Amino acid sequence: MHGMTYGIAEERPPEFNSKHAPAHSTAIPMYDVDDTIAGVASAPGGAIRGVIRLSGPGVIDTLAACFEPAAEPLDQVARPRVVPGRLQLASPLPTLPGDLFFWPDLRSYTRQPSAEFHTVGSPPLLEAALATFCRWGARLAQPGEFTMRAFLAGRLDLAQAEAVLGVIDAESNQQLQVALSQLAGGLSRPLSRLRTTLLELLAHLEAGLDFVEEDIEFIAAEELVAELRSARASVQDLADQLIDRGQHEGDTRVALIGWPNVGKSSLFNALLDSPSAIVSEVAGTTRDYLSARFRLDELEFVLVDTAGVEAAQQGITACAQQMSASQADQANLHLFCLDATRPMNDWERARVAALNDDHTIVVLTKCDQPRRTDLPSPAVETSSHGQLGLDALKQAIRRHHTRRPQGGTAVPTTAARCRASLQAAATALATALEVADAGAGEELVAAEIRQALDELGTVVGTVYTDDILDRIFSRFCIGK
Amino acid sequence: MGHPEYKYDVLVIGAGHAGTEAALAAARMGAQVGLLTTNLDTVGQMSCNPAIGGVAKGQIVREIDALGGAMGQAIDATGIQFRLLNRRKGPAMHSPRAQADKKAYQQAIKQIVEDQENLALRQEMVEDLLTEPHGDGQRVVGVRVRGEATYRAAAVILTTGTFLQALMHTGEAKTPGGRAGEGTTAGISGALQRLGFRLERFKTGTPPRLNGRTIDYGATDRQPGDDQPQAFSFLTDSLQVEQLPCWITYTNPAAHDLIRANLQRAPMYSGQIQSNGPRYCPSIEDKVVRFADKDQHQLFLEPEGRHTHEVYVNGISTSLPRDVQDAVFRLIPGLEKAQIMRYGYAVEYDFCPPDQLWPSLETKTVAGLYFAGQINGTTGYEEAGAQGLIAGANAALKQQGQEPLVLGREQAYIGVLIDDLVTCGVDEPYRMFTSRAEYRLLLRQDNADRRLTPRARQVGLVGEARWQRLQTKAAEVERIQGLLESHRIEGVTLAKYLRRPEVEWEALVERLPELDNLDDEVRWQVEHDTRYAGYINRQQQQVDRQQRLSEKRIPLDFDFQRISQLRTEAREKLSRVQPISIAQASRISGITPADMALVLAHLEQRGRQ
Repeated sequence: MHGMTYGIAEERPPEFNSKHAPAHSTAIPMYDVDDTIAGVASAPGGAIRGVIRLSGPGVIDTLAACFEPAAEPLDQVARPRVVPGRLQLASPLPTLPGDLFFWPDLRSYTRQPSAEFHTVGSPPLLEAALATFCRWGARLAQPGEFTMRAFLAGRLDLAQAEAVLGVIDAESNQQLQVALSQLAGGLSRPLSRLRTTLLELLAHLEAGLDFVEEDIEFIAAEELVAELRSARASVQDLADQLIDRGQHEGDTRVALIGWPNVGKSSLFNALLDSPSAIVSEVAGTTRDYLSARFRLDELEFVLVDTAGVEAAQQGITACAQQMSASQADQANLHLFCLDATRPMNDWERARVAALNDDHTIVVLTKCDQPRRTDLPSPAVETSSHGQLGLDALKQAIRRHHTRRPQGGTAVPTTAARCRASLQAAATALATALEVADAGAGEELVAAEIRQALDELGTVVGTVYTDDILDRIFSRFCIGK
Repeated sequence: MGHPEYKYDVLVIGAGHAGTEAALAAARMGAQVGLLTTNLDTVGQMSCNPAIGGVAKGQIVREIDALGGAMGQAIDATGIQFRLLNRRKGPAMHSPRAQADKKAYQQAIKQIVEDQENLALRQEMVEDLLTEPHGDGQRVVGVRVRGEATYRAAAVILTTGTFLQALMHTGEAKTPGGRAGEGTTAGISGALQRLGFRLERFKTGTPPRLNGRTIDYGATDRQPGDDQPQAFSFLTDSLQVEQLPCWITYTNPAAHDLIRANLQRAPMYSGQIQSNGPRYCPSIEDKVVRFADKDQHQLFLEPEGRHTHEVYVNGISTSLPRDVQDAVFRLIPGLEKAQIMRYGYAVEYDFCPPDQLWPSLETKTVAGLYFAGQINGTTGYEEAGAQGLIAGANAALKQQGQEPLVLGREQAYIGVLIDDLVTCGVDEPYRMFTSRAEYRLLLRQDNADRRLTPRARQVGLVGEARWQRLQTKAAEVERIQGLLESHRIEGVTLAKYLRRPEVEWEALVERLPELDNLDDEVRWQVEHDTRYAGYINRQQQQVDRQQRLSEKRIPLDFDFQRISQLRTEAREKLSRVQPISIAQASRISGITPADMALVLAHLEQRGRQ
């Protein structure tokens, strides 16, 4: 639906504000309450439990197709209850064990047949599960959609619903920005180039269909096929890249921050047990940031080593500083490192005074050497050389993680939607190519390109048909 | 003795393409209709090009016909050249177009109007609209005409075309009037302003007409009609018509230089005209300026009738001064000695931005007042006729206390047209293109009757003959579809076989001789439905979803200003358009899904109270 207006503000094409009457895309309209929808309901990131919520008249059919209950079949479940079982993911993935909280009747939150699938909190597995439900008839929920249904079902009053719905625009826009910058960094430009290419191609096709009496060949058959082939390749390429990057998007990020040479990189290596960060005696060796994954039992984290915080004249580039700041901002947890062998400097003192307990664990380093620290509060004491205190630090990270709020807003990750859209766009273009190859009619090729543009539109902006007319009239002299 | 007063159910002001269809539609539905025109000799007049149809427009004519309108039958009776455009593209793109004998067409329309029961055609100059207070607003009660006479009616349909405050330009010369040799209707403009309507200005142009006797056709290319002309009307069995050719010639760099040298004398460039014109129908001045690298432009020489030498030069609309128009033709192959019979001119006129209308085409400001045609900012006889028909039907339905006839975007190009107008407004004269229709593959010229005649039948727009015809055709289509499903070739059903792009219908005939010699209309329908089956199913699913949103109605008195959480922009736009359904609201540009969620929540709340 063309109302999907968010995009990357600075890359919004100029015609975005076109005053011309838009023609309308046929993409899925929002808030069709007769659809069956699915979304991740647990907080993004490596929560211990992952929850996928489903609602809609088709929930039973969807589940019947992919969920094997351990006990009696779902169609014999008459009352709300918990059904353990396994979810059949697409091969070659294994089946995924989990508990199904199942409301077969209208007693659910949305007063529709509903279910929650509770399983391990691994983001890639949750995505695979979500993809499975979507393959069997559900579609990804839009922001606010569960809330909307709950309201329509009388579970929320207007004030409650308004409170949630009123902020969705801002939130979805922000989510999209974050998703794109984190996961599609460097992809937004090629995405918007691709959209432009497709619009141009569509404009040529449409001109050929609507202005048949002009003495203009808008696009030759071979050129059409070549353009389609290249567009399909680039959209597929972008989809693949997004899928690669997406494997890590939901992880908890743990950032090491602190003054240069307090021993962050040594701690980084010690935690990972591998010498991958460059460690040196000269302050400020870590020019950029390094990241690596590590496991604590069933939880996975991304550990990020940032450049030391320091004045620019001390030789650390502004670029590395900025990168550190942004890495630190994106992190879920800070390990604030202080050198136990010296008193705190002013910057450190200021930071300690402003500590945010929810986000920060204070770590003393070099505790195997003589102590001269003046830190008043307790801290986790470590020594990378002597492997001191590392277990205690890991426990602290774990404890912190499990304290993080669970639950969430039942919105599938924006990233998941981006990927689904790109994949769908790639499929549409592949069909377009087949149709063009078979010479089956340019109006069908146009239909497929429109489909692809609708899908891309949910990622980078909106398609208006007057975009197309603008393009035609600015390029070609139409005038019989 | 008082002033004369006449009473009707529905009054239609203006007897062009919109006005005649409006009057005919209302009368077919049983309303007593008065059709008032300033000139009985220009009823159904083709002010610009002498042609009906074309890409997207041809589909509209078929839809008008399927709804019982006159346009299709009139052109079938008076066409002098018929071509099915886009023949080499898929069936959704096939578009009928015909050159008309302009005078004969006009007379055919006039006669259809005269023949219509319940319809009185009268020559009158309307000077004012009569209204009275009604609830919070106004409602129309009739019109006052020159000569102190009054017409009373509860519904008035305005179809005044380009005649509101019209000003014609040829070079520096300006003449008040909406068509060469005719006047303007200033009184109605004043009345509309008084009633609180926003008026804006558009411009459009028309090319010179030549005397064909002075054209050297030997220097031009011949463009003949189709060997087997296809009729527009579903009621026309076959066309037996002697066709005339059109001719094609080209402009050249010398002509372009001359135009460029005189640009300062063209009203569009001198600043004399500032209103927007259509981008798809640029003047020759525009063409040589904006496409300076193109060294020739196509000109179509189209005969205006069988009994006249007058030739319409399609492709050279201009408002250049007379001497420049004369001089340009001296430089064009075949036209060197051509005599101009009428000079080209540009015309500026008032229109009412159509977001002031409900989807029924009734105005939001004055109950019972309807607008149709160019007054709504559209161009084209077909677009005008379509709006007229819908406005006429709705005026009659209102009289009967029935729900208005609003066609969906998935049902008809007419639905797309009116929805675009009332939901998005216009900022250049609006013409239909197939690319405006998101369900283009469903909206074909071959199935217009199956799409629309049943609905027309429900509201009383079509008679028994048309209905019986559709029944017969539909039964035959069903029988043939059955045959395609029950017979096999190379291991697959004939239907499936036909879906292969390289397979022709004749291959099926070889397998099943029964498929030979079918009625063309039946065969097209079966063939096109079969070939498009996959896409039709896909679009149908999208249509079904959209349908559910269309069924979520927004009451006419719903106050969007009261939704405090709504963004200011959304509040302003929704209040202005006053959409009647969630589907329509979601099509307003700049309205987001979250805006719609809030509206839905408030609608629901209201429903509970």
